[in-house]
Amino acid sequence: MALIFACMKIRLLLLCTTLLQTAAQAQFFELKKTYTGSHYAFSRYDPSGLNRFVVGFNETWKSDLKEGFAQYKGGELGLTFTTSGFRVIFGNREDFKWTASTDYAFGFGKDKNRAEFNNGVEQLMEIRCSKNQINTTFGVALKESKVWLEGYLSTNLAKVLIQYTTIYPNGNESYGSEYKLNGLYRGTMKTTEFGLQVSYKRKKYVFYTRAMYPIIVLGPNKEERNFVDKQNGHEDPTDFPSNYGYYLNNPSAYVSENGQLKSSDFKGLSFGFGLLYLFGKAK
Amino acid sequence: MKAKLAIVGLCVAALLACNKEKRKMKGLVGNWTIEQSERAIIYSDGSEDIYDDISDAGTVVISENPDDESGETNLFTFDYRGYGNDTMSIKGILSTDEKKRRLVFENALCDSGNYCNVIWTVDKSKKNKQVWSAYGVDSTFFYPSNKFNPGSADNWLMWRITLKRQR
Repeated sequence: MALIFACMKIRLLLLCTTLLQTAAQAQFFELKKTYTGSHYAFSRYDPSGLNRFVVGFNETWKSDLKEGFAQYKGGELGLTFTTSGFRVIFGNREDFKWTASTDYAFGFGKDKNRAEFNNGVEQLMEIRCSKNQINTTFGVALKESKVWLEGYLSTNLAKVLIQYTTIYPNGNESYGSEYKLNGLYRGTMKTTEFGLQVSYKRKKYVFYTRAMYPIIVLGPNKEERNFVDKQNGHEDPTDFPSNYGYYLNNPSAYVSENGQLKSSDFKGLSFGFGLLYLFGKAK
Repeated sequence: MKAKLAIVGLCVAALLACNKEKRKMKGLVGNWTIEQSERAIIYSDGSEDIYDDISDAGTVVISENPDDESGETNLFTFDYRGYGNDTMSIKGILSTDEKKRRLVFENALCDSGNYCNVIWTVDKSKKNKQVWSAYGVDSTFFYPSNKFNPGSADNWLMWRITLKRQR
């Protein structure tokens, strides 16, 4: 993980250098601006692994449960992104120009799910997803460079935390070791995503919509695509389970029997829309 | 010029965000007094029965770990003095998770291996005041035998300590 962050830092520094160098030149560029803004992305994932846990948990404790966990639909983790970057529009023709951009974006989304027992104790499962993206676009600028149609390539580092806690009847929330599942489970997924983006520029504002899909999984290795809590304190393995029956009946072997939740479930199509602000004078 | 400043500013902000985890752990370093220690039974109706309430119950010393260049762990010494022979004197490595909701005294209950970490839930974390709590069931803190089904008990144990930074 530290290595991935180190790589991202180096890429950020390279990006800064490139942007500053590019900003120093200005001849046949029609537009050359930094921008900042935000967008909301509807993000799909495969809910089958989580639902296998939910169904297993609810079934196992059904006689003690007042209300079980709700099943997931795969669209709960919408993310709000903030983004900043640099765009150029260049070319000699009046009706048709090229455009390219590069930016860094950070997005965050979460979802809460609860189960309540008859004795007043609750189990809270909160899924928190964050994404660090370095994006590059390239395409055409039409309609006096007000409409941009572009291909989109993104390097995306997604981090998913499953925060599983016990809430006692007095309202106290516990991350402690008294119940084995309590903990903070962490999974990562690094992907290259490809997509399309359509933007419309009006004065200093840009409205855009984009859709993208992961085409390459860069990491981690297949055997590391789990959700693990290394500080849990209980016997290994301490992976978050998907097959709850395996987890209960054979706590030392549920991972070798493929009963753990996979972080690779948390990738899929995403689409969104947003607004950017261009710094500098309007053109 | 404004554009260049904006780029530099945004990149610096992004780089600092990457180091957030390391910085926050340093806030715990120092000498703390266990100002209050409370042990209680929590009942199903939400009421608490405090059966043990002690003021000035010992000290906690937290220092930087010279063997950990990453800065992700600290060293701790926990000296708890309860009534009579109820004492707990442990020291070792202190770690936390990235949400800072949990503090872990690693291998505090035995030399190494499983069921050894003392895990505190952080209820309050201020510069000069900390409130941590640990829980149990069936008369056992930290690692009770009933570790899977929270629905089977009708009461639970809670140990809450309030720490005050020494001047």
